[in-house]
Amino acid sequence: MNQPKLSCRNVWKLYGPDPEKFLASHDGEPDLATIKEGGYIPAVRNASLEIHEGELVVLMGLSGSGKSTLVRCMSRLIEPTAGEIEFDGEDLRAASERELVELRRHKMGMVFQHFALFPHRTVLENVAFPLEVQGVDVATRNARALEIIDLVGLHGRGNYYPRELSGGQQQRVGIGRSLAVEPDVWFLDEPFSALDALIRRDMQDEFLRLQSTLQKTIVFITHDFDEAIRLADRIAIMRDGVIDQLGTAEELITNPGSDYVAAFTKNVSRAKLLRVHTLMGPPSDDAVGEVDGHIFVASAASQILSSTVPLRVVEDGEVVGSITAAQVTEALFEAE
Amino acid sequence: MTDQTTSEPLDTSDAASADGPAKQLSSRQKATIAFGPFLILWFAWWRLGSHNITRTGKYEGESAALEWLYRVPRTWTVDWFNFAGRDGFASVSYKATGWVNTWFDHLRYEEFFQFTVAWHLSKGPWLLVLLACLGAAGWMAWRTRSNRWLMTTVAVAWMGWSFDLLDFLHVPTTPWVYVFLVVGIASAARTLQNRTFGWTATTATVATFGWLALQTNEESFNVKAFFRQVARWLEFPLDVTEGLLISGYGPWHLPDMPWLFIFVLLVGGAGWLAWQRRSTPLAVTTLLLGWMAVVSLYEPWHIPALPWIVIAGLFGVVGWKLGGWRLALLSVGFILYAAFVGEPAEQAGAETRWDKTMITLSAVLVAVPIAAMLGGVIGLVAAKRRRVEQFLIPIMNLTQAFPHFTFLIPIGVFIGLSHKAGVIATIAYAIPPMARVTILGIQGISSEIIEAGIMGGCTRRQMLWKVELPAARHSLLVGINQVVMECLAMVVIASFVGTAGLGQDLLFRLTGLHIGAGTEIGLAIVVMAITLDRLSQALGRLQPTRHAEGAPFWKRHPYLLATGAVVVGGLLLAQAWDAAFRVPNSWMRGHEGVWEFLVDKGKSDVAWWHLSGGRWLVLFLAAIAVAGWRAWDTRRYRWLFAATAVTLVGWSVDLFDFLHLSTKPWIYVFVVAGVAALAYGSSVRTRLLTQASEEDNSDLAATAQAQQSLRFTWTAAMTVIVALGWVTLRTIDESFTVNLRDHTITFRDALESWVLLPMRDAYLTIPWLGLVLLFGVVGYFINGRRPALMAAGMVAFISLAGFWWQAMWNFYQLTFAVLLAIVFGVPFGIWAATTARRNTAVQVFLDFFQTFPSFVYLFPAIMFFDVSETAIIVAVVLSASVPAIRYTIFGIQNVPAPLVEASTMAGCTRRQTLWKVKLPMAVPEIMLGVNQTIMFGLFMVMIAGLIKTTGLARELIEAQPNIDSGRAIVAGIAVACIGMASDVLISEWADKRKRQLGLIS
Repeated sequence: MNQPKLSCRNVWKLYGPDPEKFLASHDGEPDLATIKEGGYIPAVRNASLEIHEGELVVLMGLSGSGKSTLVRCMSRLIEPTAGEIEFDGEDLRAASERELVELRRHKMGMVFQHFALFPHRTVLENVAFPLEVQGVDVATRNARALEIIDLVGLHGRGNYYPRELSGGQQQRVGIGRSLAVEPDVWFLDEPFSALDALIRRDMQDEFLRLQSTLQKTIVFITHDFDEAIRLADRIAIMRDGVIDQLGTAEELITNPGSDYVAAFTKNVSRAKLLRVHTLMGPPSDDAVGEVDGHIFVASAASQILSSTVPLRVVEDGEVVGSITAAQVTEALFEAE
Repeated sequence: MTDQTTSEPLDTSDAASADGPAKQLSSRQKATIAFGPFLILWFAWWRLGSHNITRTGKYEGESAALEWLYRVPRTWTVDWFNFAGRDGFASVSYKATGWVNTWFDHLRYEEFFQFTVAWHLSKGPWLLVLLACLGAAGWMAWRTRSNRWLMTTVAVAWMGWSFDLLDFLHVPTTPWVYVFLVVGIASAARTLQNRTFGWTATTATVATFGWLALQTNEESFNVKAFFRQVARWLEFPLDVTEGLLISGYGPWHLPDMPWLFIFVLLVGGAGWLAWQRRSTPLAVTTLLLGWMAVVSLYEPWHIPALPWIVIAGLFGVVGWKLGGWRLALLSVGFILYAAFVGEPAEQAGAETRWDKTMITLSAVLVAVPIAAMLGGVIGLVAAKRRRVEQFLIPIMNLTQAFPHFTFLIPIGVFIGLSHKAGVIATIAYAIPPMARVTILGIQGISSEIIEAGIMGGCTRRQMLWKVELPAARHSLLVGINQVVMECLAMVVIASFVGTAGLGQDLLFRLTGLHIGAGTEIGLAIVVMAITLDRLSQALGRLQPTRHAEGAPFWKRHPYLLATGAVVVGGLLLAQAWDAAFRVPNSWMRGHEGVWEFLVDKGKSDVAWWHLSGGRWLVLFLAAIAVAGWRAWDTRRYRWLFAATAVTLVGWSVDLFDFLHLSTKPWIYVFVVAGVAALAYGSSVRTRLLTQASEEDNSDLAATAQAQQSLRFTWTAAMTVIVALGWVTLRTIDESFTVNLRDHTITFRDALESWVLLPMRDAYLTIPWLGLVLLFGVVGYFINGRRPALMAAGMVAFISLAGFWWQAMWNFYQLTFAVLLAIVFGVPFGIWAATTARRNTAVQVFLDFFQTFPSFVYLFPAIMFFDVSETAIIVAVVLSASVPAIRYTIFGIQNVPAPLVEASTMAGCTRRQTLWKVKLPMAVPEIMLGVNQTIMFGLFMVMIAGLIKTTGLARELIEAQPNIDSGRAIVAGIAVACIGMASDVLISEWADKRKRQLGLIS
């Protein structure tokens, strides 16, 4: 647990004529203006991130903020300009092509925004594809693929072609394909962005269900903050290639590190994110009644707001503080 | 006329400069700068020196002081392009000078052999070098135990041997063949086990070289022999396919070379696989193959030809599989046409139309896979390697601007005049488009798909075979469609270097001016082209289909079963019934008489079409009855018109002669009926229109508009029918002596003496410096120095090459024809783009026309205008209108819809919307269409050399009998230069304009 599953340190990715040389000539840390003056396009700048076993980290940002590039650097689909990437403590950038192929065959899985299904293969063949390229024999890989197809809820659609499926179903195939090899690390690049809002909600539920049974280490990209807070253990907000802030959803909301993050978190429904103990004040004597400190404010709102006097906040049977209706309304509406 | 013609580039520079940021000149000033010097130079030459130009354009003046003004003087260029037999240098005994020709001549004359004899390796320093290499490689292999070195050794030995290294051993080569085959197979097996790319490549190279050397070693090895041996490889597949389609293949038995090789590979491969996989079926296959091989040692094999009925059935099954019953019908129709239409062979054993069609078909069947594969591989490499792409793209641009003939002559030199030489030219011609499509297809795969492949853990080879090629499948199949069409176009023209089949027949007929027979053959080629085009298009659209689980065998493999049934059934039928095997002569019918009748009335009789008696009468009456009944039953105009049409046609082919009526009263009846139908159609249209506008109900308006267009179509169809009937009437009925062709000939004479010839004479006096300046300045105004230099350089090259007046001749044909094509094509395109319905109809029509190999356009032209300058122009206009129409439609439809809506809401009438919004936005696209029109026109002008040679086409075609490669290639480049110079200017301008309009970023 102490060693991160996947970590990147000071990762840079610049596009332009000779990025390595440019980076070296600016002591490895040119600022945004210098980069743009030099005629380079900064995709990722000095990004550092550690992802631990079983953790779900969401990379968040607007389009062009470098989140996709960073993930592709982590899987070495894109060669970073500078920086270190370690996978299970091994230097990924030093890995040979052969080693990379092995790594991707057994330890990594990736889901793509536009599904990236092979149009010439059936659902079964798509899911079995990673096994096929490993050289697993037909019977084994088909059996495994059928299991996966059931797992992602596409029972009986094995011999359909992707074009015969709806968007949501196609992404289920994409998810199934990336799970076929039981990867250690799972990259999801805006997997639900191309879906309708309603289906997206369903797919998120489905995803949470899968994750609760599989407990993978996950890097998840999205530009939708609601999606991020629903799914994430930690969220990294990216902007212009830089990781602006990294923390839990609660941390980002209560303690935004920059105006940018604050602007991002402004319109979030706070009641569903903040817990009672985050808002409470010190224990008060005139408090009556009890409320659990662990639960979200939204769940306790009616109780707190309907009370004219402070309530005792109780955690594991102990009184840890008190909370008033005024505190709640102030916290929830201060942003506005 | 001339002024109008030359003012076209003026508009180009005008519009381009409208808001060019860098230049502050007004468009009027620019036009003056561009055209002033040009016109002054032209005028100067016309006054001072043009009397030295004969009416046919040859320069006869001795005033060398002025020659430089008109063209690059001969004395400047003599050392480069002094081709044999050119003006002023003609000599009875052919001997070319100048380095281009000298170089190519080496390939034809003794010196070259003497040069290559130095490569004969059985003695001298080369032997030592090779032995040293062999020793070094062998020693390294022994030392390092590396497969690589081992393979090198084998390769060196093989190469050495193939260069006659071992001749001094005085061993007969035949046993060696076996030794090397065994070694080759062993290394191939090693390759399969090791499965690395390097291995495969090495084995392939070694095997290729060895095999090649095997075949060449009878003589000493040289470049020409090399090419001829490569060419000989084609004989085998050609022989086999032709054998299958026509006469049967064989007898052969195993020591015969390609079969030995194939059998060793097959038996070895199957055996090795059987051993590896411990598979019984494979073992049985191996034994079976081995047994076949042994049997063939004693008893020669003979593969009989397929009965025509089986071929028809197979085409039907393929059509059914690819595109359902319609395509099946078309495919069978093609075979039936090939089998039944055509003059029967005059004497027994002579080639019938069927045989010729099958020869052409087999050439296409062999050329298409080879060209597609080579083009695909080239495209693949280029798509992966940026440098290769950068290197290849300009070359492909050049070769695609070459006229067909340019490919033929060098191939004739290297390979000799033969059937296979033509097939090789065909392959060479079809490779660039395939490569281009492959590059586009591979680079167009979405990056996510590629990433999904990588993240799935694909190695590079798995990426290629499992991800990239399948994902690019559709583009690759589009490429194959293009290859098929290019092959068909070329295989006909390749008859110039001896390709047999329909093309050769066509060439004979055309050169003998048997237009009727030529048209008939042309039609056979068109039918083949349409069929193969639709089949290969359908192949591109084919999607994999899903079968319900547990479907029975016959449901999952209907096509396999159908194939089996067709083959078995057909073979049995052919056994029992001779006519099912070979079409009997008595079944064949030609229709050349009809065409000749159209061309020259009275030259032949059309007895076969005389319908007053027999089964045709019954057939026509039945058709009329069915159509009439349907019309009555459904009250549909459709059927009414059908009935009328059938009647008209029947009547016009003398169906009703037995009524003994004079034709005259009938004519009036039909004219009255036609006019009435027209009037009714237009009245309905007007009524619906007014109704719609009065009620101002959009739903109703839409329906009304749909109905209106429906009526309109019927009316139009009616007009066509009446007109056709009228024409037929007048051409067929003796009592009407006015012949359509008389009119066209009169028109032609007027056109030529008043327009074409004066225009040609004017063009022939254009001085080269003037045109170079013009192109350069226009290019500079469009986009700076680069297009200026390119355009001017290309024009200058034509003059440098010594083809000035020839090029100007073609240039005049081109400008006139392209202008006509634009005048017809653009308005037609605008008309077609206005409603979806028209658009669909026109697109179908255009697709159909684009399927024709270009020479087909010559037939209608010759029919009405004889062999003349006008016929060439008409053919060029016909073929070049297609892109003009297509691009216009595309341009108009690509105008962003909000713009059109905005202009409508601003209160523009339709006409205003067209002129003020749609056209200005569509102009760049239309100009690209003009560009294509020029390219099509240029090709057509060259192909028109088949009937009348003018200008550069003459240079190309006269180069043929002399096998004058240098001249043909340089003339080809000159043709390409005309095309590319206009291409540079137009596409740069269109690009810039599109950017300005925000159509592209």
